[in-house]
Amino acid sequence: MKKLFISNFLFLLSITMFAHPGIGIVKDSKGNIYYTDLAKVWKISLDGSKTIVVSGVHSHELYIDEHDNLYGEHLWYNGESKDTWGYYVWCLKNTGELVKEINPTEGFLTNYSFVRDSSGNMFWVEKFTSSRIMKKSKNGGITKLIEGKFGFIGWLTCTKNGSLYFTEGNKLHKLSPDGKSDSYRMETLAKNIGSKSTDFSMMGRNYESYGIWTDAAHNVYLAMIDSKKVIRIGADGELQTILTSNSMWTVCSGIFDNNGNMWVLENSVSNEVRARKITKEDLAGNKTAGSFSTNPHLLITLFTIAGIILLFFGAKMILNKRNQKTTHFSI
Amino acid sequence: MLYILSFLLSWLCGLLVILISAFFSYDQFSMSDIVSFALLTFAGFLILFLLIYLILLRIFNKKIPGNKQFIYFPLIFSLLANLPAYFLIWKNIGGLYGSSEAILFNLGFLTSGFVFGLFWAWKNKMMAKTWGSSTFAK
Repeated sequence: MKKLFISNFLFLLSITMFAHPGIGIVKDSKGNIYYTDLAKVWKISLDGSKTIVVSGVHSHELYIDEHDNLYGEHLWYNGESKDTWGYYVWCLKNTGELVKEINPTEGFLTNYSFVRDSSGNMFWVEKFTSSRIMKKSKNGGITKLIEGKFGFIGWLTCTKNGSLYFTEGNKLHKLSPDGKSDSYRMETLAKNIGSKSTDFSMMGRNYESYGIWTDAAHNVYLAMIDSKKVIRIGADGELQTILTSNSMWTVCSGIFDNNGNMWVLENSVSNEVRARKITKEDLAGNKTAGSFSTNPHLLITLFTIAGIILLFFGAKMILNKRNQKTTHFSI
Repeated sequence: MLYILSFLLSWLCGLLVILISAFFSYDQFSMSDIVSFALLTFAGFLILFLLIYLILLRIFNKKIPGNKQFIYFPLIFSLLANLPAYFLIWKNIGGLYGSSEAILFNLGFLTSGFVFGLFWAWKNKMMAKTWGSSTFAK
């Protein structure tokens, strides 16, 4: 019983600690999916098998280059006595070798990002009294793309051609090269995309939109963590809810595979992470009803029924015994 | 012993209703979902059982006689005794879970209370029968 109390307490505690989910989900040139659960990096192969490819890394974001080299950061806290943070950047080479791209360093990652275009340019947000979006070219040159008094800017995402998408409060912006050298143009694609968030206000994040990803048709997808849904924003700015989750899981990010299926990265209330495939048929709304024979759901339901029957007959037996005793004494 | 059995039986019935409802309302009801629902309903029902159910049972066992218990006990335990749970579930919608989970939690507690009330009404009837027959034997 004591163990049960402790496990309940820990479970409830874990719910309150739901803090900062990762958004790292990428695919390689063959179509294998990689995602982070904030402690390990998993690979889902084309046959559906799942393996750990990097372990012991607290990585929120991932990046994979055109040669299938996988990059991520390991971030850690050095304890209250030191009250400092440390990080290193790792790279899992396409040969399977794991190397440190940036050696362990105190502080936070600066002038480096996992948001990159196909040319290898990096993009990141610097948040001060005014916020900036920065770019680091492959040759190392750093330029400021835009600066202004923005509200809270969430995760940044970049398409292969260098278009950047980011949310500012409940607005979605697009920043794209305007054809001139290193000059970018910002346009607001949608306003009022999400309601105020309750979970993330402590980090300055007031709105619920989280991970951003795009498809081949340049539609933008946003994970709405509080309302547990994914919205699609078309080129015309029209908002459409394409996926809702009615379980304890919430979508944090996503990606499209080579066959047009959408993979979503989900976090549970107990801080577990999974990647789930939403087939293009499901996305198109032609979803078939869930089968009864899947997962442990059916088994546990049957065991529960068996438990109820056992308990009922147990209770009946006890009552009968009591009744016999009572009758015996009365006689 | 009967208290423990009635607690487990009621909680399992609540969980069963959640599990069955989930077949119709969930795309994927994973192990994590099941464990979360099971633990939360168990912890919540245990607290309710110790703080409210036992007290109400003691009070209404004496006040409500005979067959009326079959009507009043399920009503009292599924509605009145569960009020704190319903309030907390409603209060945390949007924070800890969505409205669909809240419905499942409410269904679970409603069933647990209903079964608990029914169980004790049945138990009292069984005992009363024995007393009646033993009196007859005498």
